[in-house]
Amino acid sequence: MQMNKETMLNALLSIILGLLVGIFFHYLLYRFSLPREPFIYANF
Amino acid sequence: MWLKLRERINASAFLICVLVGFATCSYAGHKCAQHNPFINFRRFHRLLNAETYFYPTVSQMVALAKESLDKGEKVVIVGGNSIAMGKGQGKDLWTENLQRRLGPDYKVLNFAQSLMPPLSGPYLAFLSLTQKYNFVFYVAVAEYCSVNDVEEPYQGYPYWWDAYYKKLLPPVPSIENWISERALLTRDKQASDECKLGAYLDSLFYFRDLWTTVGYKYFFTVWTPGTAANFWEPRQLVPDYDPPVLPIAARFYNFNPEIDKPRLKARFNWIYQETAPEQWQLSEDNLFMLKNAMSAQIPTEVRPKMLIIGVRDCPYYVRQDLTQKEQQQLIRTAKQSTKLWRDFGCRAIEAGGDYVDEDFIDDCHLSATGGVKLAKSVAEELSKMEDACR
Repeated sequence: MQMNKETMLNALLSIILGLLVGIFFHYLLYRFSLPREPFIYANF
Repeated sequence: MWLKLRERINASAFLICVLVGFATCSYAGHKCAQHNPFINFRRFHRLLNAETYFYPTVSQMVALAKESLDKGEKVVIVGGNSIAMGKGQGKDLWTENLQRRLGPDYKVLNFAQSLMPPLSGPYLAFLSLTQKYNFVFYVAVAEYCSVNDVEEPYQGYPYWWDAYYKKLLPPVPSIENWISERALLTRDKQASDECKLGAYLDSLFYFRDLWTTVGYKYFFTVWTPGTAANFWEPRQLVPDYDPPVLPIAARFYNFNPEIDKPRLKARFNWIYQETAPEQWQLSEDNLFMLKNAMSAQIPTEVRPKMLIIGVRDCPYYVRQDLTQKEQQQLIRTAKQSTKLWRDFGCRAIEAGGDYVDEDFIDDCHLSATGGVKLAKSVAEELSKMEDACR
């Protein structure tokens, strides 16, 4: 029973971490697509 | 701790979930591209545009326009620079005045952004919409006798490749040929290839559409100097604000002939060449290049639906900076520009010929009263353009 609970927790951890890393990779692509220098047209 | 975590993670489940997470984001981005995220859209003001790392995509502009077109409204897309954006006009935005003049049958969408040339994202949204809809018009403020390369990224954002790879554009072989020819002359090929690659990947994974929508609706993730205090705030909550305009006696305090004079002279020193002191001659070579660029990048069938506006500079600056002959040359260039666009099949007007100092907030941007005058001229032209579309 204890083993099963731990296996379930490990699987859940793998799933959550995997999803987060997948989302993070997607977000990284967005960040890489932004220009390196911000465009400053006027003083704020 | 790291080792313990590694022992607990199931590698196969982890890798599958990385792919699932990535694919889910891509699917969500694809869905975001088909829907208008903007609520009570007014314009891409400085806290909702490239000045603060917010780059609206062509898909989002198209989706916003489609909402009105599908309701049977006629859509006027406004593109171009900060003059078209209405910088400094605050609550007296000229495109809102234009909307009131045109009435409820029309929807005016101000997609202009600071320093944006006429053939950029809003133009591509217009081109995309003309495939299916008849009553869609494009109004842009442009520099005199000038047209940009449509492929040229706007402040690092490759609008052309964004629209091209997402298959938003009609087939226009002349533009594609033009871009291929220009690519041979590109100095920074690596930067150009990176832009293309980014847009290609975006057409597969839609990361720009997703994270721009998230940034607008939920939270923004990029720090910028303009939003430093609370950069994470969703951009839909950020107010469209312009500082109040100074009284006319103090308005042109930043007048500086060393900066302003070369800028004003640059407006006529390309298409006209100074052959002797204060004598200018039309440059046939530059005119030829300009005509080539225009005819390659603007399909014949959409030209009658385009209105190009040349806005004169603030008379205060012109009076102070330019000699009588230079002032005449500036007017000559403005007229030449209008003629050029008209000969080419587009509608074109000169705005500002009868404007006074009070119609400007600085050297080139229009005040509330200037905006009213511009809206009046544009509304009159649009009614003629609508007749031509029937």
